[in-house]
Amino acid sequence: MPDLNLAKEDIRGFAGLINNVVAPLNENIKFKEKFTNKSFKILLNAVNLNYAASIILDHGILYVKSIPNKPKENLSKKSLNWDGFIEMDSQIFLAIAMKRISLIGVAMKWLTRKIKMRGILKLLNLLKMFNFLTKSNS
Amino acid sequence: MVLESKIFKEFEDIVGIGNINDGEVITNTYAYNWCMEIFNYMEGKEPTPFSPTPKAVILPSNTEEVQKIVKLCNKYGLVFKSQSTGLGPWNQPSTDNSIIIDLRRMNKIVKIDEKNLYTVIEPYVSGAQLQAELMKYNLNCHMPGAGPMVSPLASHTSMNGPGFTSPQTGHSARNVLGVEWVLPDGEILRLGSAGMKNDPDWFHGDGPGPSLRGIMRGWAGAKSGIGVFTRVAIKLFPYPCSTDFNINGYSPNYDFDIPDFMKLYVMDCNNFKKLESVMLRVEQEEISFMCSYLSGLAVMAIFSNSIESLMDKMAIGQMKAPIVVIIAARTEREFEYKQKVMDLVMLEFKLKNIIGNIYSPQPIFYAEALRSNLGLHGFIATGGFQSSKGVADTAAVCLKSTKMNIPLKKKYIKKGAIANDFGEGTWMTSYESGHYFHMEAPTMFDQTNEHSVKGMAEYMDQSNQLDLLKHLGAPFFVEGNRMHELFGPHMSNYHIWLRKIKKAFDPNNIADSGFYILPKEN
Repeated sequence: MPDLNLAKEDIRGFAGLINNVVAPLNENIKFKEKFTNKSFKILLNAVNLNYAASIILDHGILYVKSIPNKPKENLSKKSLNWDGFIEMDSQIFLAIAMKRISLIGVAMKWLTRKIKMRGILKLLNLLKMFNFLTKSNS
Repeated sequence: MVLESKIFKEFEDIVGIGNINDGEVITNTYAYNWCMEIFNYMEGKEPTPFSPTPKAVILPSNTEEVQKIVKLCNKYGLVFKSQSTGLGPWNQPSTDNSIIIDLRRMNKIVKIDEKNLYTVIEPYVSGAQLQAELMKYNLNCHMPGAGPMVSPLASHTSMNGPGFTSPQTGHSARNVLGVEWVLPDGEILRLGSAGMKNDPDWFHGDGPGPSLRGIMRGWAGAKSGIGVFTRVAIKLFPYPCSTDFNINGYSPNYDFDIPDFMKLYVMDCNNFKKLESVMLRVEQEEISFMCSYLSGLAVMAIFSNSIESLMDKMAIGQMKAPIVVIIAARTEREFEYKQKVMDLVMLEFKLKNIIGNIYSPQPIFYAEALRSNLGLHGFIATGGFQSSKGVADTAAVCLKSTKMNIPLKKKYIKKGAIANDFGEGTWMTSYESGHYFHMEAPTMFDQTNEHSVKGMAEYMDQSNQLDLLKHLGAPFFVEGNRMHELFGPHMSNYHIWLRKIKKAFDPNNIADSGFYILPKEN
């Protein structure tokens, strides 16, 4: 169960950006219906920036928390207990978010270690979540 | 370098004490301008934001004073560069044997003829000032993409002129009527009906006899290289909707009551072929106030006032070929008709409007659209911005140019010289209900970073070469001797004629030809 006060915390850097992107989902009725029974925590790290974004879904309610990404241990599964983890530089993140890179392109970057992922099945939930951003709320 | 005291005194006698300055602080300040660093580097100079420093800056208050100043420049072999609101390197002298004629004291709206739909203005009237006055008469003027802070006189007589409202208000060159022009030898020439012997007035731009409008400005203007324009009459248009503005709050997030009969459409056409068909179709119906193609990132930008608010619109940025249309009307009946037409177009092309569904912009967007103030958003991402391209042609050529520019731009994105817009950064608008189209490629760079400035300059140079080799039309910035000689032989040798014009009007090269052409070959 996440700390409800997280939403009031100052969410910094890259995490602030992610928060701005996903926050409208909390107002999206279809999103709530779809995810009301789901809870997970996904960590997004942009290697060239200073803060990782911890995206927490708690029964259809989203929270984002910023985590300093240095030292590396800050982001370990042990300390954050994430279900999924994805790491890349911010330009690749932008390309994925704006659909300017194909699945094959993502796979190539994964093979060349420009994208690192753990807990791929949970990460698919993230894609499903982002899809709601381009759908009408009505 | 400063003026000899005798010459300084002669200039001072023309404009009065306090209206001429040759002090280091003033002259060096005037040597700075936005994007000068790019143009310097493209000309093989150091990428600093400074032009040659003028010997003095002089502020005339009327046409007669301008005339006397120009005559004095001829007498002493001094080059003059005139400027109105002064945005960009085009206002900068190309030699230190120069003075700047700053026209800021000539700031009057001389006349608004609401019946015959024209206004007469002086150089330092800004688009914003003029529009605010015109709104009292339910009228509007054309403003260039540069925005409402620039001088309509400069845009109409001396510069390029596509604007966000071009579907309705055209291009600056198409809106010029009577002109008052101080030639490089100091003679005053009045074009069109303003030059008639009996009952001169400003309502017409051509004749008596052959029109000189082409010589005066052609397509892109002479940027002060053929004299000083002191008054111009420009066409006016009915304001597209109600002029009752209700604005509260503080910059930049003002609250604004969106006019009753105004609607925004942002629709993804998915590919350029469909985009072309949709733009032509919308414009065929002659209903749009704005009809632009903007890249995904550019659409994000026009709705944003900060880097944070830009990035949280990434879902909008997923659109591959977005078209932005604004319709506006004076009456409910007119508005309903335009909406019905848009509904039919959307049905025909299976388009969805994201506005009101996925995204609803802040009301201030609508005010900015009405005030032609969307260009400023190009600066948000990096603080530095300039456009390459600038073609005026068919929609097909504009989109071909867009497509061909993507790999080139990506090359410089990869080098880390320019901001990452996936190479797509483009603004394309229709002119006059789709009779022709404009396309430019806004590019964001860091003015404070030498690597970025050099990369941006190299990219612009390569972009110009691409236009030339692939026949993509003439870009904006074919100006100055080098560029005219590069493009001229590929375009009916127009540069030979341009040089003849310069020679006929200014054989001594007193009007600064840095952004025009020299009277003699290099």
